[in-house]
Amino acid sequence: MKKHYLYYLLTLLVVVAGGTFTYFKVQHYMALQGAIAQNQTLLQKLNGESAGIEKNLTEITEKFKTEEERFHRQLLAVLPEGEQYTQLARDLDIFFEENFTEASTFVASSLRFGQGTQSGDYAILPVSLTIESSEKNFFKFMEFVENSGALAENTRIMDIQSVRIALPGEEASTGNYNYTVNLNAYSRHVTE
Amino acid sequence: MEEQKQKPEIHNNANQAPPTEVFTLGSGAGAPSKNPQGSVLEKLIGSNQAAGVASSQDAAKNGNVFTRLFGKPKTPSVTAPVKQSVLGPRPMLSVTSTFSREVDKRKSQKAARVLMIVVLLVFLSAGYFTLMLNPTFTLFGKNVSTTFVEGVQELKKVQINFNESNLRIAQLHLDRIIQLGDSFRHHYAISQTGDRSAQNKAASEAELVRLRSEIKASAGAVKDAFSKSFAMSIDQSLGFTLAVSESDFITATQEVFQKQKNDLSNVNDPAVILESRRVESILRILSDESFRQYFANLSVDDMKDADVIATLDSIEEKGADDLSVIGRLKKNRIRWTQVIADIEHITRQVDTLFGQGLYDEIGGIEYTGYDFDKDSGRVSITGVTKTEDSRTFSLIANLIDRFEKSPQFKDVDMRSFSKSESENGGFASSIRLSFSLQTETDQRDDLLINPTAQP
Repeated sequence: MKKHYLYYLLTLLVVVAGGTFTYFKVQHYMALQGAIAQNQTLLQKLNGESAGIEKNLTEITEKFKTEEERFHRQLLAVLPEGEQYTQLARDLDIFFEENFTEASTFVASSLRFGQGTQSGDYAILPVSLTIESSEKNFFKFMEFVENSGALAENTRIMDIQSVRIALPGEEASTGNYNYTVNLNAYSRHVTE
Repeated sequence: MEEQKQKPEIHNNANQAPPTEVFTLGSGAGAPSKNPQGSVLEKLIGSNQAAGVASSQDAAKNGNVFTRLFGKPKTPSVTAPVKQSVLGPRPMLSVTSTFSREVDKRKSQKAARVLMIVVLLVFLSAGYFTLMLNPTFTLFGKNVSTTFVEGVQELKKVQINFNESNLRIAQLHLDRIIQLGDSFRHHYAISQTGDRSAQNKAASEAELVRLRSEIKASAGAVKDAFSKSFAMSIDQSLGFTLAVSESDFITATQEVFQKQKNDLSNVNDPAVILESRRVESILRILSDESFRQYFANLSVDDMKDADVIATLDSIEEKGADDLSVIGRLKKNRIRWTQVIADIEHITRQVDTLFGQGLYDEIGGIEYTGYDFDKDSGRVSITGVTKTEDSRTFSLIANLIDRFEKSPQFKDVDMRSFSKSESENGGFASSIRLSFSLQTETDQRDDLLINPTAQP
């Protein structure tokens, strides 16, 4: 075979290979150029939407600000961070004091806090109370615990686990209820 | 052959195409003409005089140029001098293999030049596209690929900012729903209870209208927020490098909030704790697709009171935020005051004067203690009974049946009866009843009460 034919054959091969390579690269290049143009359009659109939603967020935050802060304060009272048993002792003391009258006694003779445990989404603080109170205050106390956790009341959420009540007989001298209540006071589960 | 080399060669200009035909003015020795028909000169000189030394006999025999042209005279009269001296040495104008090799060489050179140009072009193309399309090649600044990658990064950044704002809006509205929900549940319960005063019910119903409207507005906003995609809507025909799925964006958005949460941790400032709780709430929303889907599919416009309650239940059920925890804890509580009220109500069905303070005078039933246990769901009651006649056991049996028939209690247990004669006349007995709280229907609720058991 003559040398120049070999060269022409090689040229043809290089043209085919180079042409194919160039063709695909041009396609890639043009697609990228198209994508860049499209990205620019999308970016403008997204920037517009983002600005709109941020404006909306600012307005809503402002609108709900007072209520939301109050709401989260209430949440912190209802489901506090950590077991905070000292605060619970103070809250119970206030409740007993507020409802104590000469005619309607209300005395917690013992208040005992157990060791807190974690349970799923929350933590449990066991509390045991021994109380002597009038019938009226007994029901007040029961309702206080049963209705605890209402955001509007800012009371820590509690749940009665067991109650042992010694009712006064008609012959009893005081007419007071003596009862031992075991309840759970809940707090937030603190994730590690 | 030596002679051939010395012979002058006639050829065209080098730039012209090589001759396709070789013209020979005469045939040299050992070099016969390539033209089978012979040239004009050959015809003139005679093709067989290649040696240039034809004898006079040959000349006489074959004739000369004139005889060739005009034919032999019938009678030869003149013998023309046929000698080399007349024409001189026969020039040989031949472009043969040497010329051909030169042509081939030039063809090869030209082909090589073409090949080089093509290879150069391919290299230039490869170089150019490497410069343009390789995102890591930034020696000469941004190329098209880098520009594209930067554009995508910018888009992602804007989309993540969008997601952040969108989720914060959803979180604010969800909090709002649950804030309002607490009050909504309270007023809904009043409106559904029969024994409340008409004034209370009317006030609660008016409040329900306001709360329902606000809850629906917030539920609509949450629906809008969760209906939006977390990923930008990219034309998938360009998908070769834009493989950015929604889950990629959710993960990227989670990372942003996780970083915020980490930055806020271990700070005791109430405002920071509040913000930290917000961020945690958003992280929970992000990780719970079914929760987002629930709101995205919610029919807000058609919501009635019962639907609002169902939505609140669903938020508490599906959500893992503090309000949901509080909601679940509340739902799981036993209202022991209601249990006591139920016990007293059932007891009155047996002893109509129960709790009236007439036990000492008339007798009947008096309880001395309650024992409630949530874990086992068991209730134990201790007490005493007193009857004027001796049917004390019947009174206790009637009480057991009443508890068993009630939809609130089941599995009543008291198998030991005893009585004694009272000092004041009649008979007295002690009670130790235990039973379980009933949460579903029980066939013993249909128990027929003995007519004699009516109080």
